Amino acid sequence: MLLTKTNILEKVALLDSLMSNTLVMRAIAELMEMKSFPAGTYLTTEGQEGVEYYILTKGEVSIRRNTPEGDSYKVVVLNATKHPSFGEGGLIEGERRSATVVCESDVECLILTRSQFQTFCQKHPEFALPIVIKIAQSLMGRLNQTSRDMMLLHKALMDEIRSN
Amino acid sequence: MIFQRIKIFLRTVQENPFKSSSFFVLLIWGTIPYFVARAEEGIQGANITSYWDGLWWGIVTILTIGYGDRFPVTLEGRIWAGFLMLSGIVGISILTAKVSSVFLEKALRDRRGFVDTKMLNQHFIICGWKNEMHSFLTQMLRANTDLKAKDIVLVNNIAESEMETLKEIPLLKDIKFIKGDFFAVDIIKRAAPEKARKILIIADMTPNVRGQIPTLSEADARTVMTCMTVSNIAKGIPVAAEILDEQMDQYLKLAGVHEIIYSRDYSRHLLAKASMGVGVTNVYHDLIDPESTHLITTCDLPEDCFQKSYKELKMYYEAKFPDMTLLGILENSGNSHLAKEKALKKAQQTPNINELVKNLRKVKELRFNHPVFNPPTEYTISEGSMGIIIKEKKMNNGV
Repeated sequence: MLLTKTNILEKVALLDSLMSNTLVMRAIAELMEMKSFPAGTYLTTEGQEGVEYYILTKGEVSIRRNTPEGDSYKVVVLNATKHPSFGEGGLIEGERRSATVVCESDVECLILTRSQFQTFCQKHPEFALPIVIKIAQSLMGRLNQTSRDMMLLHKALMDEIRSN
Repeated sequence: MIFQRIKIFLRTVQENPFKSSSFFVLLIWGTIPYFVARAEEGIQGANITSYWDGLWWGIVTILTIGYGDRFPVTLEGRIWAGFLMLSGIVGISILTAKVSSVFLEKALRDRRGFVDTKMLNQHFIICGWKNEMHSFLTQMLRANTDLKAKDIVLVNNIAESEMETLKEIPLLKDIKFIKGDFFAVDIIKRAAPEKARKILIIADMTPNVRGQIPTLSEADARTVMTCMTVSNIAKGIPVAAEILDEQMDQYLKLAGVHEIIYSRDYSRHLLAKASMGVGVTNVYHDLIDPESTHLITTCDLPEDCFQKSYKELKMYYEAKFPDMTLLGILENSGNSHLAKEKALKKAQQTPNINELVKNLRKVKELRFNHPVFNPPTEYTISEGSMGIIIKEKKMNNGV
């Protein structure tokens, strides 16, 4: 079981900085729990606080978001064959989920919780650091995208007011 | 003190004759038979032996029927009976008088051009008046079998006598009528436009009280005013308006009315078309003439056709409805307000802001009730569309 877990972990982008060190990989693999969920389970809910990081090992999930007016729509469907992972924001304090993840089929995931991750960070800060940097990079990316989106909306609004 | 009480009581009776008289009648009918029955109990030859017998006798007497099968024989019984007869008759008369006055008032109001606004729902409002209005209305009712005269509300300033003449036509007997200037806000409000199915505004060229015929611009200006008011208080309700001077249509479009009838221009166009080829006029005639066998109209599309191509739809129609010809698609039909809201909701369903802005701009440019004839085969049918078809009319018997 541990071996398969480690195999899976090797394929996850977030953790590729650890690829060189099998001991650490095994340490994380030991921490992570394999859980199954039936179809229809909500793994994360947009706007709520979450503490888990998921790696999808079997099945399909859909990522859904809400429009400002409250309608829900599907953004993308993820299949386990590509070993997607989501919810890494949950490992950081105070982060709210940015999307809702729903199981489209019966699903199996590897889960790492915030407290497990924090314990790991304290024990192996030198290996936790690259992971945290990776998370920070993705957050920066999202922040930059949000700024660009703001500029787009600003411009669209100005155009609207000018045209009337 | 007691004088005050009596005054208040009498005022209540006067203000609420129906309630108080019915209460009074019920009171008399309920109590006096009890006393009568009690007086008659055990007496030889009496026929009112129980309270129930008393009630039967009571109702027969109050309504002045008097079968004579039951009657009091004792003195006491007869005295009580006297009370019932005197007060009961009075009560019943007030009751019946009030009931008949209610019906009379309704008939008078109908005649004078008042309509119970609260009862209107999914009706068809026609503002304005035309010469030969009766033939226009009868033609409309014959062409639309699901439209009944009682669903039509006319709003205009025509004389009551003319309206009476109109209502004498059996088909138009139940038509409703509001008297007043249709371009005035308080008059339009009486027609409950926000609950209407559709509103039609006719160019009103009838002479005013001084006998002056309005100019084209005056008639069009009134139409524009009405359209503006209606689109404000009845958002999204389909409005069609007749315009005489085609250049006034820009004002109608600003008021959100997109179904414009250029009646004068149409007749000119038809004349012009007569110069084109042989028989084109006859084609138009057959399509417009209510007596012809075929008509151009719209139809609902099957649920599963949305997002499919026009080609697929056409093949489906050819297979399933051989007596209909599909000519094209009417985009964004129906209540424009609801359609816009629906389109806005859909436009927001993307995480990409660039796409969101593009979608919203497209919603702004939506044209409602926009016909697309013979679209290219790859054209996808969007939600809210209807089909434009030529179909054979089923013959109506009699009417």
